[in-house]
Amino acid sequence: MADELTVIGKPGNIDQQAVECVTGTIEFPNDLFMGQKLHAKILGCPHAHAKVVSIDASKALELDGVEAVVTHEDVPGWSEVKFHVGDAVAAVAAKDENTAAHALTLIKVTYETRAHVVDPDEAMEPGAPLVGLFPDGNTTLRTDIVRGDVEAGFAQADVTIEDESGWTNRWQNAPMGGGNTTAWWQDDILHAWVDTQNPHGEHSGFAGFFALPHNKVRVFTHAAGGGFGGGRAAVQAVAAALAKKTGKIVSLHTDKRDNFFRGVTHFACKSKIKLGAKSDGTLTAIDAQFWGDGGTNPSPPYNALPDCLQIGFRCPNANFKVTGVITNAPPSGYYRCVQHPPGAFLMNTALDAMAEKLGMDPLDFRLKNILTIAEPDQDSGVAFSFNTLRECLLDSAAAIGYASNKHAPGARTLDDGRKHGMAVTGHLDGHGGYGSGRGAIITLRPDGTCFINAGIARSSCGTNTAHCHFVAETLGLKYDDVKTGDWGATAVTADGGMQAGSTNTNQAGAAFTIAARDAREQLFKAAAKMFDPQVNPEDLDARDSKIFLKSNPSKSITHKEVCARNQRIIGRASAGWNPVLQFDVGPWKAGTPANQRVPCAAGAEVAVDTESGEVEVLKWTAVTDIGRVIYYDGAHAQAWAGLYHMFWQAFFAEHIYDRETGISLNPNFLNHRWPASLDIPYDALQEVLREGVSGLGPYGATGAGEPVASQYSVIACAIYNAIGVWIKEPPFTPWKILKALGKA
Amino acid sequence: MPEEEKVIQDGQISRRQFIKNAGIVVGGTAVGSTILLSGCGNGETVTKTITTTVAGGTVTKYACPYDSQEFDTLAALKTHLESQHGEGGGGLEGLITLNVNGTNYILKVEPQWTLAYTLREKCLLPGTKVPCWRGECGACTVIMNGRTVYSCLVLAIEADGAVIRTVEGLKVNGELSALQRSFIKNRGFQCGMCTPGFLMTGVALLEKNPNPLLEEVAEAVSGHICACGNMNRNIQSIYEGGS
Repeated sequence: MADELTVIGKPGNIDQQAVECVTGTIEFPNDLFMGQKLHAKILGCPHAHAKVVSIDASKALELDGVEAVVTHEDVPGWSEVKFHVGDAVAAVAAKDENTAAHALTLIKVTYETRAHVVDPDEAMEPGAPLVGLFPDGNTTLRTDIVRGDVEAGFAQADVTIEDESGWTNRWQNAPMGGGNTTAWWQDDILHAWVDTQNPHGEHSGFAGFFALPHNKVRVFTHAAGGGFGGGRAAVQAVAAALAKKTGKIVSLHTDKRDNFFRGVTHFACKSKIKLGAKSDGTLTAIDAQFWGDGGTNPSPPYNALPDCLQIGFRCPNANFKVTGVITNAPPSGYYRCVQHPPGAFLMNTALDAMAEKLGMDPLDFRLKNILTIAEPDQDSGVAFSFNTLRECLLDSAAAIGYASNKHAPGARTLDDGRKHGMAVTGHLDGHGGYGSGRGAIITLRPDGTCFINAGIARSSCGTNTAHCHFVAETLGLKYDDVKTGDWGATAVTADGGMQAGSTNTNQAGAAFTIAARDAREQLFKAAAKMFDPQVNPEDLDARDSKIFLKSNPSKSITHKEVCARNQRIIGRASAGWNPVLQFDVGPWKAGTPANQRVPCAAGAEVAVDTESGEVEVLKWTAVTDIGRVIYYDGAHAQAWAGLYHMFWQAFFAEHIYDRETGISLNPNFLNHRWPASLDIPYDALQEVLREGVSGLGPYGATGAGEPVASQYSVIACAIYNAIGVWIKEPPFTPWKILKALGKA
Repeated sequence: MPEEEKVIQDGQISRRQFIKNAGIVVGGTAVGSTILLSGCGNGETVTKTITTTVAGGTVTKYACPYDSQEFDTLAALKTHLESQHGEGGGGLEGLITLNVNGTNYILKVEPQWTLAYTLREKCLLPGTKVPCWRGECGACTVIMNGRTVYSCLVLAIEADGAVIRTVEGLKVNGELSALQRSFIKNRGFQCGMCTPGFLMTGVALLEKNPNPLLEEVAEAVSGHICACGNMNRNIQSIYEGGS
């Protein structure tokens, strides 16, 4: 099959919005109505838990250029009780952003403060102050999975270990865009320009907030401006409320400080994992408990924290329990792979501890216990569509020379005195799964070129470019003949679903492929009549913008010729989410229940300076099997970016709150920073995209965004291999390493 | 619904309605041609363009935004504004001149306006992005009098008289520049928000050092954040963007 593809997976195809990106003309919500709009800023609550008693905005309204102030009385979804520092209290619309910010300082708010709790351990103690979101207590059971008989499993074990972690790092998604809205009311019709990962979801959100029929809302999303999961619930009713009050266009710019106080934060979590194994390394029992700090999100996405351990590793007796904790901190949410980055960290420290106690090499221990393709999911019983975790682990090991350089923890010192360490980790990632759940519309123009339209945002790696690949390949058009038309404009597009869960390429792509098949059927039917003599549509195939006879490819007609005479060809796809394969793909037949996971692994080699605590990454290779690379340049850019994000998680990412007051101590890019150009070990980072076995998505695609960014734990294991001491609370900063070594 | 605001300036050409009638001259040796006075933040704008083509080149004159009188130099216009419109018109108070991508702007600005805000909302050039608003990310980088600056940290009044270059001015004769083409070839962008800043720093570097080492590019862009994680490709784009 691969040889026959003419568009998919070919290097050099240009991102559909490339020119907009390099000319600055790509439209973010704040880039519209220049010189015409009002600017909004939000006042945050200074207390971690308080009730608003009164708000006096008269001084603010007297300031020249201020047009309106709104509070919880005007903004749908805002409560008079504030649950964390930075929780929105009021917002101003003014002639410019500085005037709006100045006006915020003139608003007098009287609060009735309430007891609060920011430390998750304290929040779980009996008698702790109530966060205020649950009627009693601050905890909720999120997951309770029982498999087999754990007590019997431990009774069979020759060796047991108990591994307890500290709290993992909270971090802020902090994309460059995110949370920006421009709103305008045309009488009673709301127009909202939003940078979101879910345009149709925002559409529904606005309709709900303002009690509008859905056909009185129009959402426009072009560029998401990053998101990494945080942009899936970016809806900001406040700009629309201010627009309504002023009768003018209002633009809310969520600057990065706002983002740190109100944006989505990746949650902190910890675990207590008990493992039992036979002396040959066979796992017999797992008893794993997890706790997640959701901040003020009462149902944060950490219910699948056990996923890495639960799914990929064979063990007949296992209990997995997740307890959610709420605290008076900003709400936690999604970040590239909801639970896998910290879940993998918690799992891998336990697996390595067990391997060490068994006297086994940690990689051999993993290879002994990972599921093979012959084994179905242990809890649901459904077979996996493919499972190349073994190959990904072995490729990662080979890339760092693991077999010839591995050593016991702390056993190797480099010539310069630094300690050498290496590790290989991996899991079956729960993202990138298949499901047909998207709508798509494609229109063929009279010259045979094609527009694709869907209610999706432009994501960073160019998934709408991947969609053009599917359509071009399916219709037999040249890549340049397919362009993105309207996207993210909800009034004229089908619901493209949420651009999350690493599903945009394969799920929205499935819809585009179905739509392209619909158009191809019409196209071939029309083309068949234009052959002389007439042929059957089934006799035709298409490639390079030509439709030809399968039996005699020299007999052909162009798409242009067909479309010139048949100008009404529109391909459509629309379906509810359906986890059953919609069409034959590779070895898979339509109707197959889809249980697709994305195998991912990483190998890392580090040098640790035990005097300074600094860690140098010598090599870090991440291997992910994404089934089929669709948009070559985008997929590789995203995979390298996954390494960059993992590097950030391992060494930088940490959003710190003052435990007494709940105030963010580093709400900016200087102190909660992304690695800058001089921080990155370019030569060490290597992304590998396997295309081993067909995935279930169109043309064998799976998803990539999250699986390629979920293995920062390999650094924890490599540091342990270097110094023989675990750092249980990432990020792995020099101070923490020195502290672990008893030197700080 | 108001028409979507979009400024596209290819060389000297702008598609905005109020500039459309101005008969701007393209070609010749004209540099600046548009004069624009922006009223105090209310979107009230007056513009006069008086560049005319004459044999052998073009002549640019400067029009008073209040009474349309024409002057040969900006200095003469300023003198006129101060003497004739000092009271009711506000005269020179808050009046600055900016040369942005070869176009002269006369703008009435307020003291709190940043250069970034003024470029975006008054010169109608939204290519300069302002994600952080406080000098942390580098996305708003423009070239001011030959130096890269974070335009969110420069006040408009500080920029009076400055020559500014933004991403809107990168095209050469309406075509993408070599650097822009290199960013496309190397996929030196992801979400597109930090990209204009990387481009402007790239321009500044390559003009001083047309064949930089990768390390020199990395150092030049060390004040920029690309949260999407595309730094390797951004650097490669500048590295290959000199020719």
